[in-house]
Amino acid sequence: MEHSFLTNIKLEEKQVKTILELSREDEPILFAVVGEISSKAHYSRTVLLGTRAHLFCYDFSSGVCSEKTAIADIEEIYNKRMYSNGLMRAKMKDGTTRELFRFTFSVATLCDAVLHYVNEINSGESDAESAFAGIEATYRKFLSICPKCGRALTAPGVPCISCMGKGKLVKKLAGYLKPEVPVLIISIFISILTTALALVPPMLTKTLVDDILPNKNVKMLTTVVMLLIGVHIIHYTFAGVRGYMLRICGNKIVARIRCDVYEKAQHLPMRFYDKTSTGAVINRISGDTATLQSFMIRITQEVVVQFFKMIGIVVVMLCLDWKLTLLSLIPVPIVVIGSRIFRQKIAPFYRRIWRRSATVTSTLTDTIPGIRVIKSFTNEKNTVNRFSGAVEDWREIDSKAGKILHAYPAIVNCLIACGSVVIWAFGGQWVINGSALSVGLLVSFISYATMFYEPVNFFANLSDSTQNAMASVERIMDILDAEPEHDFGKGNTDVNMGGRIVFKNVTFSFDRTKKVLKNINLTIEPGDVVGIVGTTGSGKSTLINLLLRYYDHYEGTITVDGVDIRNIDMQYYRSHIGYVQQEPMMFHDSIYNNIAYGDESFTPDEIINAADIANAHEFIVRQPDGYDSVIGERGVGLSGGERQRISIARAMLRNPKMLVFDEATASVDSETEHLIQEAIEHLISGRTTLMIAHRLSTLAKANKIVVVDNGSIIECGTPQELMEMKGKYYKLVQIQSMSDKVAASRREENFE
Amino acid sequence: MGRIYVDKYTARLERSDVYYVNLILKDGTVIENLEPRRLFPFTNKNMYITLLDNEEKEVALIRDFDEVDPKSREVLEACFADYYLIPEITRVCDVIVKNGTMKMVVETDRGNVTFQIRNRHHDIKMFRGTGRILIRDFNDNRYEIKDYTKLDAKSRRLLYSDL
Repeated sequence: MEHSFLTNIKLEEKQVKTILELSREDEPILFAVVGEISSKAHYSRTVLLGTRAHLFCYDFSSGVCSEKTAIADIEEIYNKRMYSNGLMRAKMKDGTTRELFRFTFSVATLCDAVLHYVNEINSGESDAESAFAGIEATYRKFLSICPKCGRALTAPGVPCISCMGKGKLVKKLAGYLKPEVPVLIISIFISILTTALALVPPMLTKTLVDDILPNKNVKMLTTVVMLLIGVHIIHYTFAGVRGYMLRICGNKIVARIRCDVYEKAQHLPMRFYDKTSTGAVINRISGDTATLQSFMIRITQEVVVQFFKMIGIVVVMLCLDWKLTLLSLIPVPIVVIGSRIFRQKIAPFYRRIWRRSATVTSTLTDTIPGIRVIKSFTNEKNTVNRFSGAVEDWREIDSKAGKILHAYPAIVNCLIACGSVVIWAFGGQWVINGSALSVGLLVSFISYATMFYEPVNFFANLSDSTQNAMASVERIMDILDAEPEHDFGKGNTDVNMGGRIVFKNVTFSFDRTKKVLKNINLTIEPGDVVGIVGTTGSGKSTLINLLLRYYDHYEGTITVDGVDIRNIDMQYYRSHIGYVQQEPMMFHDSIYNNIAYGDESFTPDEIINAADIANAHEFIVRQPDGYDSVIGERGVGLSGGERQRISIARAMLRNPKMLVFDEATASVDSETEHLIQEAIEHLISGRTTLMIAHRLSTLAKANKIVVVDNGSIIECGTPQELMEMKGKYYKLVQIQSMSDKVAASRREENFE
Repeated sequence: MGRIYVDKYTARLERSDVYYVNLILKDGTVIENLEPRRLFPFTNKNMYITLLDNEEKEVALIRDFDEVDPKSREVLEACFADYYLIPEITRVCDVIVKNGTMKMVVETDRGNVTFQIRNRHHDIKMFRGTGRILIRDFNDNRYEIKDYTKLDAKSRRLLYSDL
């Protein structure tokens, strides 16, 4: 049914009709937030309806329509976020409180848009029409989900990566095989040759048993023996060459996949790493790629080879004796059905086993790097317990799978063995009865029958190994297909990165449970040195994270020089920001390379100059190996302050337009702080700078202070202005100068 | 003011709003509109319940739910019933896995619902040795299976490979 109101879920015709009936002609319904829980928090189809002047709620399950709330009568409207659900409430002008709508987090963003809508109308900032435009935008964004799989897209119109179908998966895998096609084709030819050769010996056995041995023909015996030796030599030489070729191209494939997965992992958004343990990622890059490689070889090689083998053997067997051939085919259906049952039983185990071995790996990656902490807390026993618990879980499941894994081949092989006994029984009788069947024929036939079961077994188990590999493929694709950091503005480098930075109505939450930043509005002029202060967890670092584009699913906009940062080329953007962290990351490489960090275009002069400005040169010259000292190697343990100065040199070298310091001096002593401070001062001249600082003394150069508290900016202005305001900043300064005084007097006491 | 430990001897609670309580101390002092929250919502629901003021600062702490008087307990329970929505999955009707995302159709103690899980490896959390499972969906809504081993055979089969 046609309707003009916005909705987040396609409604049934009956439901649309009900909604339209609730609508008045002079006041049509503009939007419907379709929720999934009733006011009593039971699952039920409910809908919050909004018109230009009213809000009300309808419950399709109970047919109850709430009282209409006039937007003009609302004093204050808010969404109380609770646990897995939220409540939209309104304080009315008459002093009462109304519960407008209960919702799950699935529609939380829409409910927030409704708040905006109401607030905009009531504040008189805009009329219902322009306020409605805001809601429309939110709906558009909300609806940017893949129509096929329902997965959310980061922007409307972006193709859903996970929904390009199986064809894409095969295409992707085929892409890795493509360069190896010539080798693979040669190898298939070789294997057809070896298969044909493998069919020769039983044939010769027949001649041996039937003609040569009874006739005592020594000359023929020698010829046949020589022939057999020749066949075996050729067969195994070719098999060896083929194995080597396959290994070489297999290695190439796995290397390519590994590098691709690793490269992709570099471009995944921080959101991915917030939720995925590094152990699981490492497991995928190392373990799953290997499974995939062996599978790809298997599918391209063995399938062809085994197919020809099967056909060849059947043809030969039929030529030899069709009755015996039919007899030896008896176990085939049982083997095929058995393998089907086996597959069903074993399939769930592969995923479980993987899950548990991933836990083992992540326990390792969690604990081994933290060995110092473990030792210092003498927590070895607990750590070992945790690890052995994980190993025990894995062992238990793997052993369970082992039962099925080994019972099946035992049964199948037993069947096949019994099959050949049947051939002996019948064939033997025919030989004894003196029919056309000779002893030699029977013996060679049994050899063929045994050989025949190899391809049968292979095909019966093919989908089992496919399952195992597909589980790996899925996990690798999880990374390869995960949406990378979006670079919508790729190629857009036409931005003055030293321009004005504006945060406009920025709201952000990591998951939907708690807003970390609420409605941030901030303007930073070119050349400003901005100090960001606030208590731990107030949202300071998140503010910086957004500016560095680690997360881009926030509401509102951040612009640099008037351009939304999401529309600027990512590499260009980040390359113009110098970022100095609290605990700088040093790589196991020389000091020189740690400063240059991947860019070989810098001259030693530039590097030394940067180190000099960062006050790092003076301690580097004291190192016996100078700039070639490898950080982390014996003797080259740099102190926190030294590492920090190297990271400042690293930032300095790139001559960034914008600088971000995230508590750069938090973990060093006062003297080092002074050195770092000096380095920072060299660095910031003329550059827009943002500094997060606990120690307010670090902010001496700041011309603007932003105080963040509980996700909001509570104070913003020059240090003098804020001191005069006597607010939070004033308090912080008071506390710190007091504690500094105490510390200073303590020091004096100690000296005395 | 230091932290107040609440038990039946020191204070009682009364409900002031959907998710707010008033704390009435023995000496008659009333602290209004505190928000009770569980500090161990997964591992021990009834131990350590904090009472926060509207700036989310802790005012009082209940060490043990069973240590407060029955009436206050009712108040807390009513508050929590509104605040926490963790439906208990009683039956799994279908699990559809496609392209790495997983869709679950389930019956819960609060009705039937269908939801999507973004990452099967991380969003399904199992507590070792207890059969308890916590699930987080695409939108960060939570669901719980109290004891996996007590689900019917079909539900167990549908979940089996992901545990």
